[in-house]
Amino acid sequence: MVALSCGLALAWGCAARTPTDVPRAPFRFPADTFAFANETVWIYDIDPGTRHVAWRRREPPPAFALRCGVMARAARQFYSAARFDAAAPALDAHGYERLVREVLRSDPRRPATTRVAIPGYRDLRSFSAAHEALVQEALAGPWRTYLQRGNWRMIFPFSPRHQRDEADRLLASLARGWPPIVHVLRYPQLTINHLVLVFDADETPAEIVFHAYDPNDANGPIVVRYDRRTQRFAYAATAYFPGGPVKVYAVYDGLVY
Amino acid sequence: MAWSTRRAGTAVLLALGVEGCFTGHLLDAARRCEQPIAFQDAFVDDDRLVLRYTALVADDLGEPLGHEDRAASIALADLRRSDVPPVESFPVERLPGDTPRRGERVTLHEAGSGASVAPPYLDIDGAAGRLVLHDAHDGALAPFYAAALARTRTALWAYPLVPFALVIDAATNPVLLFFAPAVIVLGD
Repeated sequence: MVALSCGLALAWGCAARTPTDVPRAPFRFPADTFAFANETVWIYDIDPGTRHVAWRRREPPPAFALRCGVMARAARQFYSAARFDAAAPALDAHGYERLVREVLRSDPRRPATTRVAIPGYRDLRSFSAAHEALVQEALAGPWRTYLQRGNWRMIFPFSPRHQRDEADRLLASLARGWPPIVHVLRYPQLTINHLVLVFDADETPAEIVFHAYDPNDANGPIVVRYDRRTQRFAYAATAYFPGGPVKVYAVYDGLVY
Repeated sequence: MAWSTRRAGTAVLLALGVEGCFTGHLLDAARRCEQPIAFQDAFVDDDRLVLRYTALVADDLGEPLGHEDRAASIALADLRRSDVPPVESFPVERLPGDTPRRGERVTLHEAGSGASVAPPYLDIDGAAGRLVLHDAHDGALAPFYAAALARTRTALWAYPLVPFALVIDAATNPVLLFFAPAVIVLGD
């Protein structure tokens, strides 16, 4: 009985990690991303020579912060569950709010089988630029990032083999047309603890270059490199991280992540 | 009862203090990564290309720990194959860092520098991390990626500590695993 239960649980978990294939255009930057960015609570002063990072609190405190997980999750929900129709007549704010909430109610872990039509705009970028306050209000607060189900995994180490398998899983997910959301960290160091949405990859003999939507930067995608020989990921230098090796695992993925 | 409560409390505090799997974090802390950053010398010894280079040694989080002189050789036959092995499984023989030069010297040449050199020479494209050997008979051989010379190892000081780490994990991991389902159920 126990064996049967375990088998069912494993089968459930494995099946849940494989999203249903639904044909859709590849995720595009900037069209499928938000026009606004998640702001960091801290300002990071990075010494380019030593890569030492000093933190100081942003003043005044940002109004829209600690939402990297919320934004990565929502970007994938819009990609999966929304269809923009620029030719259709626009709605009033209440109408759009209802549609946004409907999109955000969709399952973030698998492709939607039906899509919510959002009239008057050609993509998420233009829609979120025109209705920034409405969209920000509809997105959940920082609690959703704190309570991300897969957070349990971050306290356990990531072996090189796990990272190699994770790189393969990310490629497989992209090949299925399902952009994975990844948790990027250096735990137990807290120099980075971030979620990004991977939407493309370039393979070379020496590495895999993953292109990702960084909710902290609305201006351009970020690069996460996987070194095939050392089986490590490296995150690009940004305004909040000096660049360097990180651990990566996919979240909003299956039953336990 | 009080005794078991105290033991459970200690286990919870330990679990919080060791930040997860202690053995894994110990091995992570001891992991060393070496990557070539400068090539000093190259020569063809019999049927192998021998490279002497400086490797940057860093910890698992990329913090530089120092430099080492390294040497390695690769079979020319692997560079002449039509299906060059992928970088993660490219056969590299590690040699002592002070391997003496023998055989035919290969000139190191910076790719794109425009300087003209006679073969054999090694075209080094630092930006792409790619080396191409040009010899007098075959011309340019298949590109060799310097990443194939990178390696990871575990510092020796970690191994005597592993038994102690396993004991700590035996006491603390059940606590962490006990709470994991709650995180999964309550989490988004």
